[in-house]
Amino acid sequence: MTWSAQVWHVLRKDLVTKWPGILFFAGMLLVSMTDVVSAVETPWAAFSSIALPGAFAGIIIGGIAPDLPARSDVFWATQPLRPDAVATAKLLYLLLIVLIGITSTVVALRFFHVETATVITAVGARLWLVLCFTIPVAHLATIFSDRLDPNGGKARLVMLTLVLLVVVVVMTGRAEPVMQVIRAIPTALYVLAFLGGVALFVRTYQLRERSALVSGATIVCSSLMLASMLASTTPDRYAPGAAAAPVTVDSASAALTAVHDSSTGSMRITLDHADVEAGMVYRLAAGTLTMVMRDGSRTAMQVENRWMPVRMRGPRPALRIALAGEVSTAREPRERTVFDEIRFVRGFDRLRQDSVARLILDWTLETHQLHEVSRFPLLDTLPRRDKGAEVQCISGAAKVDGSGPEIQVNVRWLPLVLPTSWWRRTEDMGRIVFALRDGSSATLIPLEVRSFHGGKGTADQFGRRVSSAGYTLRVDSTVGATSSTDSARIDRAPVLPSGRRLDTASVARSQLIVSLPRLRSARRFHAEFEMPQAD
Amino acid sequence: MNAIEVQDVFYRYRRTVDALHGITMEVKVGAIHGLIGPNGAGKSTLLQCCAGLRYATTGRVLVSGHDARRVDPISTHALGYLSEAIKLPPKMTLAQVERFIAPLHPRWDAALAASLRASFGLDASRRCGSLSRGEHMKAAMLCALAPRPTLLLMDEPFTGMDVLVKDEIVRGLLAGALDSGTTILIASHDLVELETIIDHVAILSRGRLLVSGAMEALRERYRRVTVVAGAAAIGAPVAEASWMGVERAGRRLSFMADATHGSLRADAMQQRFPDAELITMEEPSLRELFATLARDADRHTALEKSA
Repeated sequence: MTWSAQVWHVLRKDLVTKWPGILFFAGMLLVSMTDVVSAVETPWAAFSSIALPGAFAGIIIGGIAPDLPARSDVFWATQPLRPDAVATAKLLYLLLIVLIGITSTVVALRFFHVETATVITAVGARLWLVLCFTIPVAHLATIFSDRLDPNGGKARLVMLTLVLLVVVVVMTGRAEPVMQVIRAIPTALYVLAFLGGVALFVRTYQLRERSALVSGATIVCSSLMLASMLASTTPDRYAPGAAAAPVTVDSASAALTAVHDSSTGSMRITLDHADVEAGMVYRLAAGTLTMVMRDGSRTAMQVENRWMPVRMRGPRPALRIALAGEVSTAREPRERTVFDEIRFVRGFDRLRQDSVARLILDWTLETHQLHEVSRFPLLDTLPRRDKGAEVQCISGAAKVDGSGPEIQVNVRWLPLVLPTSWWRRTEDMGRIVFALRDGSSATLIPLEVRSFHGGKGTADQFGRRVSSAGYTLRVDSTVGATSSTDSARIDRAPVLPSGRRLDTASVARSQLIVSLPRLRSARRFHAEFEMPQAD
Repeated sequence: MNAIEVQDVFYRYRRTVDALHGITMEVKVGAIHGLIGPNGAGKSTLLQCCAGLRYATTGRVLVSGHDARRVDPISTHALGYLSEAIKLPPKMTLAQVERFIAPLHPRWDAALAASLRASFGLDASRRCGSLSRGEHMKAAMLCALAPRPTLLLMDEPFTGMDVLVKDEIVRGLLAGALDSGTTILIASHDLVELETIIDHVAILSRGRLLVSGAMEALRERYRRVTVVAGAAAIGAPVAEASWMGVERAGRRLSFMADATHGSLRADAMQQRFPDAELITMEEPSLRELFATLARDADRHTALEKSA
């Protein structure tokens, strides 16, 4: 059997035996993309940051473990296989895993209607990070060869990998001098370390017994690769945006502040809207963000109020709170619109420290009038059904226990609202407004509910928490092919302005009001923001 | 040409423990060479050095005239290695393992593999990780034998096997291998089984080679001498330096004598024990030889050096 045939033979064996794990990993990636494209923070954020690297490390270690290089009892070593052919097969396996990950990401994001070019740019920028993670983990598997027994050895090594990763990130992230040294390392050295790491990986298979020299070189190369990861993921600039560019149109005004996190190619822009009108819902739309670089060049991108790449929340109408007879003005009549451009900024490489001199944002602020769809007493344990314009039925139930009132709301959408495709647009759910209404008062406490994307025909429950009017809502969503049910729940007792908790009697007088917004007007805004230069 | 030549091989674990200490021996082509010794003697290490799985710290191991460290892996289809420590890929079924390794071996004998599978009672659809220790060993043996190697290195091949299977292997498979001219270097503690098949033996103790050679020659060289004293008890004779494994029980004196260091002729013994009622000189069994040499390893080594 020729060398290349041996490579293919080993690779095919690994793929045949590891495909369930690879498929699982690809599935995890697809699921984690829902966090990337979601308009709100989801539980998948934690999932993505911990479970995904863990699964990735597991697949790497799982691929290395059956044909470990440096043990005398490994099966392949007793077969007429060239060590470098086995090593090459393992490298191809690792590369294939990375490619599968990229493909899954691209497919998932295309599914969410993200431009392919944007996806490829962002994924390409992170390919280096993935590769710099892959090779050290592969080395780790070879170093701890004798611990990779079938009885949880691989799981322990995955845990060790994650712990090491967290420790390195935390330790170096807190030690600015260390980070300065890491950032000062020339890129060429990182590239050399990567190539050296690959060569050492092959060498490890050729050597039956690892020499101190090879071990030392492996540690150095792996450390440099991890340092390269840190250098490219740790923020090197944080501009809180002390200055603001206020703009006012009619009764609404907005101040643009910005946080520019350039090292990861991410940007967070914050809009503070003041003096918005009660009873209205505002929505940021048709935004254009222009980055003026210090070299005079410009980069413009669309800021869309849907899908990728921008996360955006509209201002809520609650300005004055009256609940259970208490009126509060303590709450600042200001809402904040935050949209993040965290993962997919075009011109990724341009976002270097101090590279952006000025941000120019043009957007339209839509004002929506709330249109009440349904209302029912909070403590009505029987489901109420009501037909709204686009809402098929709404049912709700509330209960009060020692921790306060808990409200569960279920909304079933009409098939017309829900597209025939099972992915529902964020705005569909975002348009619905829930509010608490005190029985003796006309004022509302808005409870914002955002939807989460579900899957076709699945019974998946997605949960998240959002803060709204001082309360925490939990939104669960089950999305079917033709209909969708969303529910909201207040998890803890609302605290009244006096500091008193909402009691059962107060809840008994309150009502839950479900509204849909209708567009009333739209205003165009323009704001410019000078980015402060770092010292 | 010898199938294996071990030339003054030292092997040191972690720079402190000498697993092999100046081993020099050879395995002739077509021989079935037993490698025996107590635990920690260095048998497995020596086999691994021969298989190229470990590199000798100093000295050389030649396999078919080539340095074991640089044997072309493509030509190693001629080499079969079986060890109790070998771990078959736990996630793969036996059928998958067979499918994986068969194309690597030009002489893979599918019929033999099927025959072995049947006689071992192995289920090809089971994952190797779910096999019992004995079944795992049988599967590993299948993988080592089915390629019909010209040189077979076996390290404790009978581990976990029941008596019937041991018997089958010893009588059938290894005998068949012998017929086809396969050279076998086999390390085992199952001396009874081993003795029936090997024609050469090497005995190791604490990393040193005590003796190595053809079984015929060893049987010629060593004798188990038993002396029964007469009614008038013989005085305690001064044990000669060449006697090993000296045991006294009443009127009975027993020891292993080495022809290299003294005469094994009957008249010489009679002269040595004039009052003896009975003197017997028997060929020692492999077990006896091993036990005696292993216990008196230091004395044997000293004798060898003086010789």
